[in-house]
Amino acid sequence: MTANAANIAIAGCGAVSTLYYAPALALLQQQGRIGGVRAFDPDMDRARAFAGLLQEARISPSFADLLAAPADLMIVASPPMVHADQAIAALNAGRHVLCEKPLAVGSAQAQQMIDAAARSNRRLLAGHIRRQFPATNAIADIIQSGLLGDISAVSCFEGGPFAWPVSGPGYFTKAASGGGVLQDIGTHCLDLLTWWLGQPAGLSYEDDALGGVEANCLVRLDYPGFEARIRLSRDWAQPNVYRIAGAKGWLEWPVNDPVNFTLYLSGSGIAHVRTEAPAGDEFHLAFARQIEAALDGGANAVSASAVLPVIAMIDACYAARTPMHLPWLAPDEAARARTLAGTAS
Amino acid sequence: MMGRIAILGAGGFIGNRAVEMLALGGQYDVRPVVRKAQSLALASRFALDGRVADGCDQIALEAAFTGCSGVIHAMAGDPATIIGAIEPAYRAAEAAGVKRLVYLSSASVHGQSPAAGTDELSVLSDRQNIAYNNAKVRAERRLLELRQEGKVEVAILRPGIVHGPRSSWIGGFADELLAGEAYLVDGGRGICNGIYVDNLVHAITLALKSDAADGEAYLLGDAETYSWADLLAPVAGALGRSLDDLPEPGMERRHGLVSRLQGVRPLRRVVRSLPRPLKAALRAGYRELMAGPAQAGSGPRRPVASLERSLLHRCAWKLPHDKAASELGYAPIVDFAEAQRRTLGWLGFAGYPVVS
Repeated sequence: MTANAANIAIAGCGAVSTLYYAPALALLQQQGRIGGVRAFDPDMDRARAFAGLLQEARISPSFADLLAAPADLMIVASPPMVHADQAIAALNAGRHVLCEKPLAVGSAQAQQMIDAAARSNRRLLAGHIRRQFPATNAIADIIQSGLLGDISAVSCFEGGPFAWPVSGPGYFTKAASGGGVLQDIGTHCLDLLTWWLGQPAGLSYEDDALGGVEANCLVRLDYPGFEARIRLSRDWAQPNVYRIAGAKGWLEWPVNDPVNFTLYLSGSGIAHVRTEAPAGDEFHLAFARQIEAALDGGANAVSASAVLPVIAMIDACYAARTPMHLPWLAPDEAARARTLAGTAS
Repeated sequence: MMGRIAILGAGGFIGNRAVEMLALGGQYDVRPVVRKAQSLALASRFALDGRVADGCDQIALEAAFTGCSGVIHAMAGDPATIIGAIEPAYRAAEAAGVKRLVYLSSASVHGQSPAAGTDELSVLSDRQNIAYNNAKVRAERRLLELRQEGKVEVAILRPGIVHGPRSSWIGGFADELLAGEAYLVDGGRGICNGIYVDNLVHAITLALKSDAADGEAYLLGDAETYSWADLLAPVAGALGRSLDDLPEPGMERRHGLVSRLQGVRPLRRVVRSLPRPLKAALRAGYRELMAGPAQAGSGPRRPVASLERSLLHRCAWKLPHDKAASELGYAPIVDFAEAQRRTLGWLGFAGYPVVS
């Protein structure tokens, strides 16, 4: 361990922490970039399991204890509904904060968090891991360079049977998660699109919530001259490809691939692009880069204010929601579904 | 409201549609029960009291069933799970005060290509070539044994090929078509003993309340007699394909010697104890023996039909559902044409490249 090794606090030891943050933190420990890690989870078994994945990790019995312990950065990886409270408390205690996505449930919460960061003069960063991928950065460069020409169509198909190891049924409630598939993977998708393409002029939204949270949704973003069509699902396997077509070519990105995409340019044919990336598990390396960026305020850190427009778009989607057409329902079921759809909060 | 119904296996194809139909029907208070919390993703479109309980964990199941008057046992799984999830579910239902348990068995208890005249009175064998069939036969038997000594009423349903939105027979076939791996044995001219999923869920609701159903088993199907080609041609058409273009598959070879030895219970330990090189040699030798002359040419490889599909696609007997009609009052609520219209609608919804 080096003398300037940073200490990390992490709130929430669920799946994202054990599957992704723990390997990334272990990697940074090996490199001497970070020192001790202190973890808190209301479920002590989960906290112990997380700590067991690291060389040097301690457990806090309460969030207050975690907050009192010295740390350079707090990672907030708790359920979305407590992001704001925990992040604001950490900022007020003088910690830089890296908060998992979705940063907040609603723009109002997000703004409170940003205000707290400004008041305490601490960094508040959003855990939008896909921004750390070499592939998505290369795509951003390609689009912004105009290589594809004027964009004419965008389609994003993403999802599959839901397999994320959630801790319990409560995950599937608006109260705990702020929504369904839109709030979950839609946050990633909208963030990438607005990063690549800028803000849309308008949007429309439909989903299949029937009093609960949506498993399927369709978002249409209006851009000058084209539409971005986003179909997300927790139900059935989707093509899991983002396709961006322009006057001079197109590109396709396989969802969540950190390094690969396909590029076609008129007159040049199709190129299967593998971006340069360090050897190893790119996904874990991306998490490690994200933590380092949060510690250093690096250029590829995603600030909370940068994702505020995405949170506002999700607010706008839910506010404008219309029921998806479910073509397999009998007429009487469809009528009842319309009634229930109106009760989705 | 006719009481609270627990649906065990609510995350599966049939369980999910049962949740949907019962919740939208408004007659029952629905409680989805799943093995892992993530399987509640679809049921959570509704504001329901979903529970997590492993199908083999009697204590967890009892907690999940408490307050329910009925249980729909729609849990899928491998043969061991199919059998292992019977007794815990029954005993949990009894401890929770459940009145009736409706068990989703399968018409496969009669085999994939049942003999002419087969009905519920036909003798069942648990020594068939397909392990799934044997597991369902044993599961039924165990359930009826438990009923003999227990208080929870039991109704057993034997649906055939359950088709409709999210069915693997439909979505899986569409996937195979798109991947260039689809096939039909004998052109799919055999009878498909199919049942549209809504008709099955309708039958489940009848079985939950019919006085005659306790201790009985019922075959279930659609009203129409149709072939596999009839079922799947519209799917192919929706994707811009034709069944005429599908290859005639080769037939699955018999299991290799090692796996056949492993299938004989007393020999399993012996096989496990064989040195690895000897097992490999046995496998290789048997493959060579069974391979026959090599295929000529270097063209595309023919798909190989599984034993299950070979039997299904050659079926010549339409299983009757007269018993369900007379004792449960079962009559399909969705005809075959409408079932197909809804299924194709789902294909588009699910993101398949449907041509208009």
